[in-house]
Amino acid sequence: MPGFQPDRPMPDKTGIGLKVEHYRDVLEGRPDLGFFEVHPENYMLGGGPGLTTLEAVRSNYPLSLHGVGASLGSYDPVDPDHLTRLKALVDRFEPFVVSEHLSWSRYQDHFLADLLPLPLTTAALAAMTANVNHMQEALGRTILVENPSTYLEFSHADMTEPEFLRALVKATGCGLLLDVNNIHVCAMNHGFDPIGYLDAIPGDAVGEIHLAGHSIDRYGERDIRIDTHGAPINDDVWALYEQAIIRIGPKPTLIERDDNLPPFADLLAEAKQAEHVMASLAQGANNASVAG
Amino acid sequence: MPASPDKITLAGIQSAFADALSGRGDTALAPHIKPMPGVPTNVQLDIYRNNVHAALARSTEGLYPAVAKLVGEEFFHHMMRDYIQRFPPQHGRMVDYGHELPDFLESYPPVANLRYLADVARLELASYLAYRAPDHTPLNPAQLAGLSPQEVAALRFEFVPSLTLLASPWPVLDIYRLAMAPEGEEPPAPEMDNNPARLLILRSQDEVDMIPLPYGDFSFLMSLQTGANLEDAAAGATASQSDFDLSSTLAQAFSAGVFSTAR
Amino acid sequence: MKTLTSKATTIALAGALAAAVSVSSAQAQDWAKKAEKCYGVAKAGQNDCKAGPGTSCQGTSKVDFQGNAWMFVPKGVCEKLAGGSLEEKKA
Repeated sequence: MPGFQPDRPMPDKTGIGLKVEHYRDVLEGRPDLGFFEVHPENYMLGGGPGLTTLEAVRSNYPLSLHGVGASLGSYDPVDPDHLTRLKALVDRFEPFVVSEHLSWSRYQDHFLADLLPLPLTTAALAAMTANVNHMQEALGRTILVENPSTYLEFSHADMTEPEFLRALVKATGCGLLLDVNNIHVCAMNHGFDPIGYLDAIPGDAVGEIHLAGHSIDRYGERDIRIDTHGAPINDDVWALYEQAIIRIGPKPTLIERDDNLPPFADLLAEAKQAEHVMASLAQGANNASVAG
Repeated sequence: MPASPDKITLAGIQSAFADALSGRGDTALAPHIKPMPGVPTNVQLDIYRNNVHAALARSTEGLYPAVAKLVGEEFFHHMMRDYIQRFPPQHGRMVDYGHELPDFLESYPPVANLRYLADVARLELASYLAYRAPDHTPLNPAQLAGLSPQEVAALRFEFVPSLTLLASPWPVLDIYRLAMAPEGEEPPAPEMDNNPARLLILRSQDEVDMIPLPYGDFSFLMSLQTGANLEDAAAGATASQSDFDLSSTLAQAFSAGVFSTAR
Repeated sequence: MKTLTSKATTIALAGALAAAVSVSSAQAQDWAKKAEKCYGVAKAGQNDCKAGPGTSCQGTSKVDFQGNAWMFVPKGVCEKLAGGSLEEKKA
């Protein structure tokens, strides 16, 4: 059975999350990158320089729309108003990929402004499946769903996160956005083997990878890892990224940074490092097959 | 007897989580959370409470940087706790959150003595709304050449969608400049008494301008905005400022791109 | 009498408009000179969504959810604005 088939050609180089502070670096410097990514919620505006700047970036690069507000894991259906606004942006900017999260944020009229953890139950899978199908139908294309960072687990879970994702992919035809930093954060917080996680997910469904830095909070004798997007990508995450690429092959990879923004050149260096990892592992795979 | 933890529905979990994040207690949610060695459940939930607060407070601080500087970041974040409780978000678009802050400040007792603060917030909100207003092409004044004197007198103008006219008894633009100045480069503190502000805020050529107007110009634009024709608006402005110069004011307004249409 | 005045006024209005139309944008810069620029391409709205990133509880923005917000007083640039506060008015 073929895995996730992207609707549009995927860029073969790495990308960076586009921040307002870096608009000038991107428009004037024209960095050598495969794509940029933004949160569509930040461009749900009537007009103005935000949208025209994004248009200027889009005229030079492929674009990814990475949603944070659809709340696909909610018991409630996706807000039709949100889908209408998202569809307008998809039509206007023609992104190569649209993604969202394995999480929820909305309960009835309350929007809880974070990516909240789902109980990994058959009921949650049914709700998530219905909402992903609804969104894919509304947009007329498949989406990628990202594994989140979590700080708690529910005791009544029926399955592991890889099992949940595998079932979701099977039920909806969606792809996966594999956040390597989130796997590391969750593995450390909840005590599972991150390599085992990589082996358990449906690798052929992965359409994009995220890399980011995190923070470590100390509570008593324990460390809790928090997905802050506020630090450089650390060595543990780079090592796990190599393991992911070995298993699933090169994928469009995004450097995500939201807090403590460094100069654009620092993020570009991280993007180049990711490209180097993919290129050297592809080289290694070729040599291995020649030797074998 | 409480319901078995195994039987809780997805809606039940999400309702209980919403309670825990909105200050209504953890008791419904806590029994369903898998113990994390060395970390009490309330500390795990504090991470989420902190994330939700930070997302809303930081975004709102981004919309009102001068207000945040005036009251200090620490106070601003504590104030946001009360604001979030009074105006909880109902959707996931941070760009549309925090727009009630000016009215909230008007009646928030801890800042009652900072009587200019709500108007500084109004200035910041108007500037932001100008930034993201629908795109528009300003009126080309050449279209008005060749009208008869009667037609000119009866002209009514529509304003571009990014425009706000803001009047305050306080020198809010000077206060804004003081708050936003880099450390060590602050302008002198403005005279607070008898120093009202009359401001035109609009976007032109991809930039938002906050423009202090003479009293006559301001009252002229206010009259036009409320539907007066050119003759009545000019008469009112002349009455409020004896040296009001209609020709000069119109030239400035055309140059700034104030009008979208005239009819 | 009234119609005469009104006619003189409308002619003056038309003259003022004609003069304004003939002025180029470059010549009408009195407002622009006093303007404060606050948003543009390089300075966009900062009230945005982030990718649901967490915030370190040990960072500066940790809020005590049990504490009373009303115990805090504004401490910022407002301290430089004597005269804007009620207490100082009364003093």
